[in-house]
Amino acid sequence: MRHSRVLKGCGILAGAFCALGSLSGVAEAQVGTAQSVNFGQALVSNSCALSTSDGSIGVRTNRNLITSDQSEGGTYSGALVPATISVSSNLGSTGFVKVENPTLSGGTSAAASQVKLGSTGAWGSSAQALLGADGSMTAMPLHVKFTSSGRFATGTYTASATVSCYDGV
Amino acid sequence: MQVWTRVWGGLGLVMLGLSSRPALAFNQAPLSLKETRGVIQLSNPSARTLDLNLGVFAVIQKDGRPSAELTPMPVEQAEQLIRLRPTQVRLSSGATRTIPYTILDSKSDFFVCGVSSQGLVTLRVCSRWRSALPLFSSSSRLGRR
Repeated sequence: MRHSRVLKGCGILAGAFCALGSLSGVAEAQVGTAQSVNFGQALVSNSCALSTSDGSIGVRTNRNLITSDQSEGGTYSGALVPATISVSSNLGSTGFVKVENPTLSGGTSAAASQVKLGSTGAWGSSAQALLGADGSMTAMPLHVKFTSSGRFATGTYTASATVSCYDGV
Repeated sequence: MQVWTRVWGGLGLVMLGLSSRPALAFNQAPLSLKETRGVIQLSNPSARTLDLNLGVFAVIQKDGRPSAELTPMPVEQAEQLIRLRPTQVRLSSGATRTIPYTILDSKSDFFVCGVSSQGLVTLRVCSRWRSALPLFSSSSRLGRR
């Protein structure tokens, strides 16, 4: 019994020498019984961690535009701050993020609602961005823009959009 | 002078802490459902408690890539495709939860998306179940006609 335990600890090639060693009285001892250590299960799969911080919108002084993007020009009341999107994933560059459904809630409906990903992206009803080769995207600005055919009525307005993460494979 | 240095140093630390923690975030895995039975894992890496809804969404081809419809399927329709319980989950900061699922109709193609609507930005992370039908099935059916 003692020998079998000792042999377990030896490599295949070294087994014979190891056995000789134990027979010839080399000091080896096991104190107490062996304890096994277990770890909890891990789920190995493709995943996406999506995070956002909210932005804020302002209205142009002529009240025909509500946006988070200062580069649209004009003077505004309210702080214009983009929302940001960050992604951490193991998807690699097959993963992508899609932004859609820009929605304005308030007294006047918008004639046109658009989103823009990044500071230099294009305005559209939706926008997409591929993740980097490491599957990540760092704090990408997300802008919204709402135009009115006339003037936005006085009141409180909030803007929202939907951001989704996909594996494009 | 030393007091002001400490105050500004403290403020700097607070601001760093705020900027490094996302306001709202969640993780979902796997994004490809390969087995007819399994689990979807949801976790909350953000500092806030998160309310998530799991919904079943139709696949649409738009802007060159398949993505999920904006609105989930009606519950009755979704329950014919996948058994998923629970569909509403509250995750405290740092928590992880696994949701068991069973595919009921392997011939359909759909997304199961975790959705958080707490912020101004609605977050979705979508897992796809692809139809088990072989690609040539439609042409072979046509051939039999």
